[in-house]
Amino acid sequence: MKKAMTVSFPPLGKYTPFIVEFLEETGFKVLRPPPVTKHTIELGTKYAPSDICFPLKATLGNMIEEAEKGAEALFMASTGSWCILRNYWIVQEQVLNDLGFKFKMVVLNLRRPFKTYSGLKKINPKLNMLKLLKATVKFYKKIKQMDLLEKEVNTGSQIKIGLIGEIYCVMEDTINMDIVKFLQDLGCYVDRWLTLSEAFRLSLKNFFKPLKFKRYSLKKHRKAAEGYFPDSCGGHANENLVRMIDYTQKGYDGIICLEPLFCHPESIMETSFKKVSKDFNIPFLKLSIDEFTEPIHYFNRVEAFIESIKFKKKCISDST
Amino acid sequence: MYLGLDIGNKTIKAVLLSSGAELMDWVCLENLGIISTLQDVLSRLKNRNPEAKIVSCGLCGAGRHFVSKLLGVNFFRTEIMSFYRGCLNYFEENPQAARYKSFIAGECGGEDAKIMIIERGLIKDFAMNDLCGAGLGINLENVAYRMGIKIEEFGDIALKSQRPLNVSSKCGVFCVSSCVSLLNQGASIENILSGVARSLVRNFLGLYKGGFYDWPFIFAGGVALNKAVCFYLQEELNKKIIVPHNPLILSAKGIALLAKDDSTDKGFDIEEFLRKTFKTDAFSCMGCENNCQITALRENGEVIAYFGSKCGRYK
Repeated sequence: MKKAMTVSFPPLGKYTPFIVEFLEETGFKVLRPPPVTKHTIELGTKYAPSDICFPLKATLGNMIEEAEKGAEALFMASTGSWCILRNYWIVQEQVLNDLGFKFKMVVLNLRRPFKTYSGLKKINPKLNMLKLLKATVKFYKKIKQMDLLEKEVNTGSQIKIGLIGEIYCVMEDTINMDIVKFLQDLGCYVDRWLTLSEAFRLSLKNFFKPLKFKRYSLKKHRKAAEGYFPDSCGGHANENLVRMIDYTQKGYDGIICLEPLFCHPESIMETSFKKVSKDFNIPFLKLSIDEFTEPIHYFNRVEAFIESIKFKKKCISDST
Repeated sequence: MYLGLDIGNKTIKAVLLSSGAELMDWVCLENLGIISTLQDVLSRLKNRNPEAKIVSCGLCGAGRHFVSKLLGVNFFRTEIMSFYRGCLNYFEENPQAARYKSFIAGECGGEDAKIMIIERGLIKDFAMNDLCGAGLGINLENVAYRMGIKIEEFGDIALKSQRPLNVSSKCGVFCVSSCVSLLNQGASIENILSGVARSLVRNFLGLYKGGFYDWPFIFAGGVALNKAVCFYLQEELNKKIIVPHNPLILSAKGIALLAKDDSTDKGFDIEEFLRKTFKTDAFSCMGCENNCQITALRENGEVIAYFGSKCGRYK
């Protein structure tokens, strides 16, 4: 009987323990991913191409640390989307092989379910479809509950902020420096639409659609979004646009967009975001994150943004 | 009286306003260590105004969180809000410009710069620099030092130039080496300095990507004291700019006014603060892989605050 391979994966913020639990329930032997630290970023930046978007550097650093700790198989997500996250696994495999690690790369792509399943089965022969589906449903319920809990903080607040952006920056709290908590501490109600449960749901919804048709999921704002950006873009950039329009219709007070520096889909969507901000008169702040981002400057801009919104509301209420 | 403190990276500025919001006194000192410089600034202010009773105090600038714990003052705002309030106050005091409710406000300091678009009295948009230092005062100082002139003479020398040269402007370090190589090619100092001033203006204006409309442009901050930078800013914008009489203290005035309006603190005693002794210790927390660098602030020997903890273990 072959010994079970130790598996690991790049951590994903608060979802990491649930992913570990999901894998253990389906019979994998999991090495708990160490958290993202300054050392992780340094490692990833050292070995990744210098002009690549930030999530590759962070996840590569994670994988090197995990391989050093003895992980024999590493899981990496890939997407059907046109953003280069799709090809991260290739660079990661090349770098780890060059560094002399012996491991198996398993690519998880929801748009290629059979290939993904067979990859998982090679690592864990005891895996079966029923167990996997049961564990998936349980996992989805847990993360959905956690995501709902986040939206219960400061519900009575006068300041409502919509958080949009690139999936990794929005979900990995060490990368976005726990911006949700920071905003909540300033008294704001924060709605982060791109939670893992929502991303999961969207993936399943778009499963049968060819890429070029998976642009905007919200029917009611689809036409408006097409007016600004009439084509498909990579990552969740299209979805961010339609959600931003949704936030303006719901009376939100400001939009914050998190993106890695030089993220192509988010960059190309920036003019559309700014146009929506101008047309609907809603303050918009874009935060670019990379290995050089200083927390002081980062939080200063967020604080200034919230202060100007609070002041504007105060002036408007004073004058009425 | 109202006290406004702007704790910048380069200088610490203090402003004292009367109960009627008039400027009574101001101090600006180079930041050579936040605790000692603050003690120096406040003792000078107290010596010159012995009868001053501070009803409320406001803090702004990069060091506001640290100084808040140091002074026990809870009212602080970002530089954006303070500068904005300072600009509004400038227009209130200068009736000839007061008819404009919409204007662009730019501040270029030693180590930070910002541009704000104010439409009908409210902040519409702002941009702050956080990626590079090529459009900042520190760059001018480095060039002045390398060219062997005093920073105070920079503006006058640069204005003599008829032909500003092209200097490498994307990186502060390369800017200085570009100036040196021009000097080695026989270029005159005034043409080099005017080139630097012009490229600084272009970097500064590049902070904000939207349009500036046809609104008045008010320019403040330490760099506004440099006449050559003001000249090239006017040239780039193709209109006259407004430079307040004292461009250094606009933010400090703004935060003093914001404290006057909104602070709920019970007042601040300078003498009591100056009687205390403060000390900081730094150590690494070994609680997790992050190994955060923690600074402990001690007042008369006892720890009153910790800074630098990511998880809140040290608060």
